[in-house]
Amino acid sequence: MDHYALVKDCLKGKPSAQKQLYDQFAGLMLSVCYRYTKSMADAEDVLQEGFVKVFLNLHQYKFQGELGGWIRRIMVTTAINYLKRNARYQSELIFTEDHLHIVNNDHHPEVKLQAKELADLVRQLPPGYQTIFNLYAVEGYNHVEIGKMLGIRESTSRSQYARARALLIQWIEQLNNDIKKTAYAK
Amino acid sequence: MPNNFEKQVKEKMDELTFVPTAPVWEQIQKQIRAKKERRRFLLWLPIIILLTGSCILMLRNGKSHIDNRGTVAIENRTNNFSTPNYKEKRIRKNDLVNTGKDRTNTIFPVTDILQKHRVVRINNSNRYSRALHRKNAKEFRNSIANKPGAEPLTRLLQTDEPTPGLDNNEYISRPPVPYISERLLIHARLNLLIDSVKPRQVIPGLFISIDTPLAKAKQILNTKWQMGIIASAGFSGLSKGFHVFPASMQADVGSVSGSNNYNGYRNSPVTKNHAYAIGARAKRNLSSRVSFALGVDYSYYSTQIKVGQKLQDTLIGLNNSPSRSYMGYGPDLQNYSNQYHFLSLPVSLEWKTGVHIPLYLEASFSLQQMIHTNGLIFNSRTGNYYTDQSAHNKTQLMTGLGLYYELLRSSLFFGPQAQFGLRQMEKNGSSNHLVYAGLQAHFFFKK
Repeated sequence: MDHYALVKDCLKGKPSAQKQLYDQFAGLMLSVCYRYTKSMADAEDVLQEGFVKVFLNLHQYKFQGELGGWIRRIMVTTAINYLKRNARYQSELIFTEDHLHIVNNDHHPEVKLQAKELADLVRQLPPGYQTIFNLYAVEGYNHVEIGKMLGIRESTSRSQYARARALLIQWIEQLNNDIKKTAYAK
Repeated sequence: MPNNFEKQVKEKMDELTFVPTAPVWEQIQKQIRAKKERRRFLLWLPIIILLTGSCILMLRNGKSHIDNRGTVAIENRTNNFSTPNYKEKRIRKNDLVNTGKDRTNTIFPVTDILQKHRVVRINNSNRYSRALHRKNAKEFRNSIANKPGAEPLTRLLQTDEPTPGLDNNEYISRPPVPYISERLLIHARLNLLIDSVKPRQVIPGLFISIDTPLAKAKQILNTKWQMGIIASAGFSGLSKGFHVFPASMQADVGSVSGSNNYNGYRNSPVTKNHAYAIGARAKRNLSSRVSFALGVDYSYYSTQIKVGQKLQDTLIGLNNSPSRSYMGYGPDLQNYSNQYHFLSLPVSLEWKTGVHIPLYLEASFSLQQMIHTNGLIFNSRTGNYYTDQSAHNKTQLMTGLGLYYELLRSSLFFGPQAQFGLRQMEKNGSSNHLVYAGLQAHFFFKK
């Protein structure tokens, strides 16, 4: 069933269509939620909340873009709201106007890690860094948009991203070295 | 700008998928159901208020001020006993009736009294009276005239006490305050004291009434309709359903970021535009604080969008009616006003919020028929707008809430009003509902 028919059936309230839509996107969307949170339980909470919004507001989807993209945006904003609401993340979501030393953007290691390993590495970043890194590097939002979404200045978003990126590159390099050492040892 | 590192990260991240656990879907289903019910409830709230208000009012009108189990009625009558107002039935001959002559509640066979007197009684279930006896009026007067020592009514007004042997369910109500029981009433009538009591007279501390639901309904029907006119002005727009979610949640689905790509065309945002209505009203008071009104209105709503260049007129719709078309994009965007003309049949229930404050809360419901529109329909495949009368839901159901302040004594009412369309405006695709907010003035002519 194509997305048009699927959405129309969902709008008619057919449970089978709703389940089909959920099955089609739940796996991918859970990975989105996973990247923004610190535990799988939190990720599932966000997924649940996000899909409720999807089904209740599906009439607003105008078939003017990819359905997956529309659902993904809902998941991202739901995840951000979840982090803002949740006390565990709140303390670390305070963005400060710190300016980082200049990071050389041209220097970066090759990412040899598996998707899950990389996602876990990103999740080890402090929540503020993690969120901005995901929004910029993965979702493709620019710093102005990130600033609006998180209620911070564009410059803050830039500096936080730079720090997150530097930290991540450092960890990836370490892991790459470890992989090399293990390979030599063998 | 994201460079190679970001690209690598994005590619890796897009590969990632997980399988959610089963309870997640169950919880989603539960929440959807609960929230839909909540939405539905809020949509129908004005109607529920309207109906509940009517029911409460009717129930209240049916109650006695003294005794919930029933009221005793003194018939609105003259001396002509042969023409009672109420439907009459005979009471069983073996029933016992207390004449109430003294505090010992001497019981007499009902037949003794039946032979002499006519009484009217309204039983506990508010059914109409059972007259005790049919007797020639002349004969009755004679029998009364021959009876010595008519007692004053005041002597008969005493607190009733339990009467052994009486069928309590049938005849006796025992409120903690003095009242005229049917037995006393019989006695009162017996002694022609009833003549000293005016119909519907309320005695301090006591109550004599014919306020049964049916009688009250008759009274209401007998009250005059008050005719008037209304005029309202404000702004109308289109709403994506009834928002019961916090603003943050609305933004989640409403915002479309510029960084996202779309395959189709986007329609112009719909902005609010002016609206007005004029009409006639007929109002009838249901009680001192509640009134019911119905009428007929002409309503005009409009919204505004941005459209591009006008295209050549085409034939569209079932009747091949001519359609105006506009590009939905382009360099020279201009304002276009979608106009909707309706003929409305509103019904409303108005409740005075306080006894001394002339502030009225109104819940209304109106059936509207679209008589004309130039509203544009967006075609997301071509990116163009076109007019098509048949693409609109021409019959609309609007619910409304209003708050009015009485400016002139029972004549002019003025205040804010909001309306929400229960049906979507367009038949297919869009789920926009008509919304209106504005100020309304009612002017009612003196009766």
